[in-house]
Amino acid sequence: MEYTLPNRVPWTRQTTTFTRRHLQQLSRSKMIVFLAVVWPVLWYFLTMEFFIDVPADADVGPIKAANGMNYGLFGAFTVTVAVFAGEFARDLDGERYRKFRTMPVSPSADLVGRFLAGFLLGVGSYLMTIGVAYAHGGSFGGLGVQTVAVIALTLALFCLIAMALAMGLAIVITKPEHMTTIAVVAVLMAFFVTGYNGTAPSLIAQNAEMVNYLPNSLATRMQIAVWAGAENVEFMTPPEAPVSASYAGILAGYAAVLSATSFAIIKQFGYGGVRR
Amino acid sequence: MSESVRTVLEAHGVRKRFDENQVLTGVDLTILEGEILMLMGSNGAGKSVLTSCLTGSVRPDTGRIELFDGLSPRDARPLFSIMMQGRMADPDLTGHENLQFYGSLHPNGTNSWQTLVERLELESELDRPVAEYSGGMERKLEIAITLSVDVPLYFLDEPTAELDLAMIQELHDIVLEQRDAGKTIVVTSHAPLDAQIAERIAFLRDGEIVADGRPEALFESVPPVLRVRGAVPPATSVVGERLFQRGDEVRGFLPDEDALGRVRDQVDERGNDVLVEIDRPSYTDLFNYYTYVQENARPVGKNAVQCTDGGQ
Repeated sequence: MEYTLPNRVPWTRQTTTFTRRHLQQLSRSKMIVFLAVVWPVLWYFLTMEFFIDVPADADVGPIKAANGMNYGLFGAFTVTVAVFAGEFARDLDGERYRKFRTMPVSPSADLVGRFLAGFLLGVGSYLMTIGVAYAHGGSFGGLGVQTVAVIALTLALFCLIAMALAMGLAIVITKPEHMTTIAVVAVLMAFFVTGYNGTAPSLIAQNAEMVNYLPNSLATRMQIAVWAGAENVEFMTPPEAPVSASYAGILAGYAAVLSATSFAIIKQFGYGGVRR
Repeated sequence: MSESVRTVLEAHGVRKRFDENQVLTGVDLTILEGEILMLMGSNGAGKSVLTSCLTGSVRPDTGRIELFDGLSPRDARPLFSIMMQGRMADPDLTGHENLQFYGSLHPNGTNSWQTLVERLELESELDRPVAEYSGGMERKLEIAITLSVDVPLYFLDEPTAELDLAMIQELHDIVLEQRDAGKTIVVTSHAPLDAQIAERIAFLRDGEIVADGRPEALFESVPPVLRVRGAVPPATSVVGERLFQRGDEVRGFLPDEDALGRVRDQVDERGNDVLVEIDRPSYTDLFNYYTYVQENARPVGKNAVQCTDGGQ
């Protein structure tokens, strides 16, 4: 018998196979559906009703829009962290990577497939919250090419941050059943430590400028400033609204570093067989 | 098997340690094209770790492994398929979704799983989440996932664990059919029943291959089997001082046939139903001897018991 090495399954098909697998898993998780749909909308209304004090004569439209964006990103972040942390930890814990390592599979297809599943869910969650804010009277700016590009970049970056954070958690915490809870707590900590993802920098006692440099707050502030209009975001200044190209460059840098970190983790701990 | 049969896998000096536990202490193994090789040993002997090393899932500390004329396990991945007990199926997916997932990732994935699940009587359960499966159902799914990939070499790690007797027989038939189709199959097991389909058996003990050969040759090297019913002989009367209970009888291995008389003297045969005799060795005796008793076992290549009948 002659043995000929067959061509591998194309990378794109491998990626969609992993994406489909995770979407199938997630569709059965009530917790994920709750985090994607109910969680950010709940926070939006809690904030509008109890956490902020709006003067009677103030135009609340931009504030509602800003909160819609803030909690849209918050929801996308939460759900992506939960998706990644839970699913990656379960595959490590269930030793399914022992099987994956014997298959002609590309680690990057695995990673991107997972990311796309989390991202799709995150986008769904984001759009749901934006829709609720819009229906509640939020006044959003126009959707030009630049605005759409910024929204896409910041949303994708949020999901990248979530992915990297979740994968880091998954290799440290070896109990997958606790991962969703821990991931949500981590998201809440990041949210509050950065002054509601940078939308309330006055809550930060010292060095409030950091909100223009930390990835979650920078992405949130940039999106709000671009979409709601820089002239409508006095509530989150100072520091200045991050709308310049240099801030976009910082975000792109974060995206590159976080993607590389995530790839290194999956290659080492998943396909490299390094034990946690 | 003729001398011209090709080698599909060669392993030399494979050693693997996990923390303080030296699991493999220097395994040499050759797998020939078109054979059913049974890798046997007790629980914890290192069978799963060895197959993991052979397939690139676990990296050995030292040693050399080559498949298909010089390919590393990593490079040879499209040419083999491995069943790993309890490490494949995603419990949150249905059986069908798991089959679809693994089949889509392999370049030689086929639809033959449809026939396999039918033969293994899993067809009606495919739309249920695997989390609801019993252990036996999960094994069947893993077997279908593994064998539905069309490759020349299969590794099945404990495939009959948790299967009922009818399904074990069905799986044996499937494996024999694969062999007839020219495939090479490596099966790990600690169930003597599985040895019936083996063309070659390699016994793994304490991380080494201690005996390797065709079943008939291995049987020839087994000492006379003592069978006692109605009494228990002293352990000192048998090789390795190790007795094995099987149903209502006790079995062991005599140093030679003359020892039977001494055992009879030691056992009170005046009772009504005491039986002391030499019996033909069964596959269970074969397993017990090479796994627990054989004292002078040495790894293959280092004075191991290497049983061939000229056929290899």
